[in-house]
Amino acid sequence: MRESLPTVPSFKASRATGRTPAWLRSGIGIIWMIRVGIVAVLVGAWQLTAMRWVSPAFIGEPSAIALEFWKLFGTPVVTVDLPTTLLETFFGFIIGGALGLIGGAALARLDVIYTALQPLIAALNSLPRVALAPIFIIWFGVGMASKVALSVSLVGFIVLLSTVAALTESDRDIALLAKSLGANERQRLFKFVLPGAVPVLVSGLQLGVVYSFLGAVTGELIGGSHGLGVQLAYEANTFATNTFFAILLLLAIVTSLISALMTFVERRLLRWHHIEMRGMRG
Amino acid sequence: MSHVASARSVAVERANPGVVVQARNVSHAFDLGAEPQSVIQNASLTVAAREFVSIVGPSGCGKTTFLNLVAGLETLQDGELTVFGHAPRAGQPGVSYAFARDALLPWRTAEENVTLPMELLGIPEAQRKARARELLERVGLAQNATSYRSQLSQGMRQRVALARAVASHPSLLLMDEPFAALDAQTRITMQQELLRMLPHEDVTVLFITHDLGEAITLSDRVVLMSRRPASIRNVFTIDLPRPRDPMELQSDDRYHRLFESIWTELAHEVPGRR
Repeated sequence: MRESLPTVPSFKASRATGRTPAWLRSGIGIIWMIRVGIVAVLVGAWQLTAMRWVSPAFIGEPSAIALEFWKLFGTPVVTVDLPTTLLETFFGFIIGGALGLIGGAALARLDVIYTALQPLIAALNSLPRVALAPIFIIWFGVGMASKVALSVSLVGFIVLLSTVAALTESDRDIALLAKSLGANERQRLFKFVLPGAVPVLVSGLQLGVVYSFLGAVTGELIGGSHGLGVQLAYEANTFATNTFFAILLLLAIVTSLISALMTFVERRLLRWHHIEMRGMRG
Repeated sequence: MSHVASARSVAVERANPGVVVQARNVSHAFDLGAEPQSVIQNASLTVAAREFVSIVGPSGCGKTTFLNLVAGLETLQDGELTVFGHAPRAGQPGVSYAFARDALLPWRTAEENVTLPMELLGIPEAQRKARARELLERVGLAQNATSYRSQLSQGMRQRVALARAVASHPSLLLMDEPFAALDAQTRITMQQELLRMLPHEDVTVLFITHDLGEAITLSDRVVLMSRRPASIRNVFTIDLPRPRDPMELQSDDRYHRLFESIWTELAHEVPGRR
């Protein structure tokens, strides 16, 4: 800082001398201000549009949506449909994740078979899985099983591909180190390969949770008797636009909570990786 | 991994217990497509126990290949090569390898990286930790024991790697340009660390470098390799007294005379120079 200009207040100077409050200087404050600001502007514009120009029957109305959202608690939407969807998500994630991890680990070891199957896996993965929902209903009925099946079909491939990537992209230096230290096969796997693969595995699983939820809700939209997707379809069909958006809001909150939980677990488990990533951002 | 069928039987040396590395007429070729490219031709070298031997030579001449043969990371094709009287084998107990890149495991702290070789040998935890702390202290990183690789500077990483290399009390330390990636000041600091550390360790060192000054500073003997296909062109005995200090050597006449006489010969081997 230039000594000759102590009386001229500048943004930089106030940053350096700490006159700006800590919560603003840390960057977290600014980020939250931007977030809240954008949401406020969008909701405000929405409210105005619904009041002045477009019928709330089509686009809903934020104030009414907030009321509907409040009223959801205590109704079967929260006590029956939400648990149903979460249960389907859970089973879809557990079964799909397990299949993906086991299949990925097997394919990573048998690289000839992986090379042979690669085009097939890519083709199956690019297939719009939602299109399978009707056939899953035929196979597994209109209950939870068909939704779990759809989730498994989504989660399985995502976890499979990330597992193969995590286990095959090993560092050459680390492989050479393991060899020069005379590590046996078990030590090589547990001390040199797996720890480095965990961040990729975890990010695959994180994506898997979101897709499992997506699979469950989509399956319910196509057909079923319980679940948030079923309710969404019902509200839209009966022109209960505000309730529709209230359930959508509930969906968004639940997904965000699941993601936040996964991130929290990841940071606790992979402190080294978190530190490394933070360093890369500067 | 392809094993070369033509590798000759390796003579097991029992006679001389003072010999750590014995190479006789070692030749090696890389199989690159059409015809094999000869990298090393009839290289012979004997390294005695507790000796510090550096190998210098023009870049790409096959120094690292020679070291990898000694380490057992490359399969011997032709000639005789023994390490402690046996055929070289990767991961042989008592032999440690320090790489040009630090090869630290990013998920382990500095201390956990140093304990790694001892873990593989099944040394008890308390003993591992005590040894790691002692070594980190000696390379000046006692304060950084719980830092991860990403939190350490390049120089600090190499120091951790050095501590790891000597952690399991190796009898033979193979070093492949361990300080090449460092800036000039850090490199001199690292040479000081190494010179300070070695008297505490009962260890023989085979050291690859392209830095002639570094080779003279550290070594008992400097081996000059010719350009490809490499053979041993000359071996120089460095009779500078120990303990040595890299900075003080800069003003030592004997150091400069040695440098000049080796450099004159080395210059013949550098392509495009006379």
